[in-house]
Amino acid sequence: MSEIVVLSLVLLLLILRPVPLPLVRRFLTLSAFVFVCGGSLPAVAAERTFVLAPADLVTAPDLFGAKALSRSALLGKAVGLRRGAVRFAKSICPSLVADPTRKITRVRVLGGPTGAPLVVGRSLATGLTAALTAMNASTWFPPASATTDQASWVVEPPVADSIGFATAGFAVGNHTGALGKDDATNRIPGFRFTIDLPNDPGTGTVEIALALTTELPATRAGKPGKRAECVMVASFVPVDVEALRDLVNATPLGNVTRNRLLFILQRVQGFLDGGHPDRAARNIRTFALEVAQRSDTEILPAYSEAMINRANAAAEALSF
Amino acid sequence: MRGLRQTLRSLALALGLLAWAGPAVAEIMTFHLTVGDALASVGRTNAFLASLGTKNARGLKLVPGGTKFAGLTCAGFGDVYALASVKVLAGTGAFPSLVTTKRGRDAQTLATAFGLAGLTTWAPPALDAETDLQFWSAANVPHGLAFTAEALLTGTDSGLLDASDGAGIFRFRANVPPTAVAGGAHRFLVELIGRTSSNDSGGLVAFAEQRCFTFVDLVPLDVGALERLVDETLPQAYVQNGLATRVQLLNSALGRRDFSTALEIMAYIVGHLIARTPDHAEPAAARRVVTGVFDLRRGLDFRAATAQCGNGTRETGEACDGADLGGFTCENTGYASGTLSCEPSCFLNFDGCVANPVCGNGVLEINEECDNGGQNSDSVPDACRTDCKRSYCGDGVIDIFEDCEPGNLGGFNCVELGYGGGTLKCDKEYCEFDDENCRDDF
Repeated sequence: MSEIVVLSLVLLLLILRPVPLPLVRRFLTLSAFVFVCGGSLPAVAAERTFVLAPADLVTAPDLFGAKALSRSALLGKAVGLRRGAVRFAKSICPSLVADPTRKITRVRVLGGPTGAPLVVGRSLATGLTAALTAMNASTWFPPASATTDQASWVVEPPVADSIGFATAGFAVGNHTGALGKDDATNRIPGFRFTIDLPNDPGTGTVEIALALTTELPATRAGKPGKRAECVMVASFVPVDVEALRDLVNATPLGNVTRNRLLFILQRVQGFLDGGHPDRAARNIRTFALEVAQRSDTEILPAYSEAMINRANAAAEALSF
Repeated sequence: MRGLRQTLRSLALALGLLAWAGPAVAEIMTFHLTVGDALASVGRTNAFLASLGTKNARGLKLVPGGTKFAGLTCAGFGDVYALASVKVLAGTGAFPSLVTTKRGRDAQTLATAFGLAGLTTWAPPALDAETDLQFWSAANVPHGLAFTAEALLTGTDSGLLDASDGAGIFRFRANVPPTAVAGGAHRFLVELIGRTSSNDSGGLVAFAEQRCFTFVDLVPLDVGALERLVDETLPQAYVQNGLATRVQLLNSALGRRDFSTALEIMAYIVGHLIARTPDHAEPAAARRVVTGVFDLRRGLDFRAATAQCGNGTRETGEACDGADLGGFTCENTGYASGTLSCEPSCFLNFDGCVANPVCGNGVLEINEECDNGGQNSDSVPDACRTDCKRSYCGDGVIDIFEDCEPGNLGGFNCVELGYGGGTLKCDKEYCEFDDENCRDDF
């Protein structure tokens, strides 16, 4: 509100005093730009970081199938059963745990209900916006960043409304590094991405739309295996300093302990801002250790477990 | 000829005994099935059945909120249908007696489909079945164990559960084989009965019931399970040099129901893991063990709904109650003498017990962290110290998993670590190098 008052005063002065017209125009254009930009920014926009382990991706179709079937009353014809799998909108999400021959070769993080249909193939786009909205898929804003530590995987060149990871040989049908049933217990994070969410998720999960490309082995020499893309929604928790701060604030704690933990997180942020992720990760471990030492005495175990697990994941995310 | 037949018969008998002896290494383990697990199992099982396709899940149909399979509808549990009964079944062998429709064909269909789920087959009866939920009871039944809400017996809404009751626990101990599905969990076949509330029909008796078979993955909540997890997940060098003794001490503290000590040891194990990750323990492995410790911790919190601390009778979840010390004395819990008492919170109080450990006799006693007899040393890395304490950060000896000791950098400096210069310090808490004052410039 004070900005509007100042702007009005300046405009009034401009009108009262003779100023060259081009300068007035430039000022007005700039003011309008600042005002519009400031007004359109989401109130609590938040850049959040997520990590995915092979197990998260391999088990995602089953978890999503469970959720989609439970919500079938709400989803109506957007969900169905087809060819031994759950159909969601127009795509089929086969279980990778049930079929050891099927492997994931590409993962795309989709920009939400409206962005997703622009990225996936035309055959999958019909009805996707409504279906993703019904599954509470979050929208996020570019630019996003991604990195991978997963052997034989690369980050795809950036595209609007999507972040992509693929096996290095995806384009030529080479399956090296593809993820399948054997990776269902591999919880070592291999993929990290940061996206700008319109709303702060707090201590909760974020529903993110994913497109998984799965492939079957080639049946004839020289011919690539059959590929299919499955669009789904998966729940993830952010693993960053903000998430730890939210957890500390949501935990019943004495002031001394709360301030101590928040102080450590402030130090972590300082190291991150200064470009020292390794020191930041070490201080996150200090945070986890201090929580562990206070578990059961000052911090209820349910809260300490949540903080320790999230801190460990955040430290791992920084080690990429 | 007769001799040969006799020998073959003996051999067959021996082989049979061996085959029988294989699964007999089953262990009695404790499990907690939460209401949340039970409700979530419906969607998960539906997705599993969908993945089987028409060959193995013939006739599976989508219905609003779930599926219909073998004549049973699994949909709307937790919202439309409140949970009224949970049966933990011993295996697919239960189907023929529980599902008798279509002359047993439905039972066969269910057995075929669930047979592909990798279920744990356990040996009833279950032990110590209890719940912390009001208006629920537990009983062993043919083919398993049943937890039942009063609602089913009285025709009221008494004890009906919805999604908001997710934290409620059904606890039992079962004789399970050592093999588990991924993550150390056992996969149990479960029968759920859901029921609409009488409020849905304006108080008139017009209940609708739904019966559904699902499966749940449950991790055992015993020290043995934690011990196995530690052994399977973490590097042996690390386990031998740090955690093994702590887990043994935890086992011993829980054995004598000294929960206060047990909680301290659990906090120590978690801290130990955090401090040694990622240098000595792989982060994902450390995370699994931390979860295992908290699982065990959760097991200690369980209080049966029928248990009343202060009624003078020791019940599940209570170490003691008033004068009922459960047969424990100072002497049989590892102390030399004294008087054991019970706290108002139903925890044992060992303050009146006198420990008389003899450090150096090679026997691990109360108040000792280790005792290796003549091998106790104050100068050998990782040895049990002469005060019967484990080697620790700050004891002046650089142990295998330490970079340094306060005041002893082991000959290292910033330049040796690849920096241009500066002052290297030793972190007092972790005994790791603190390179914050090392400079990058050359």
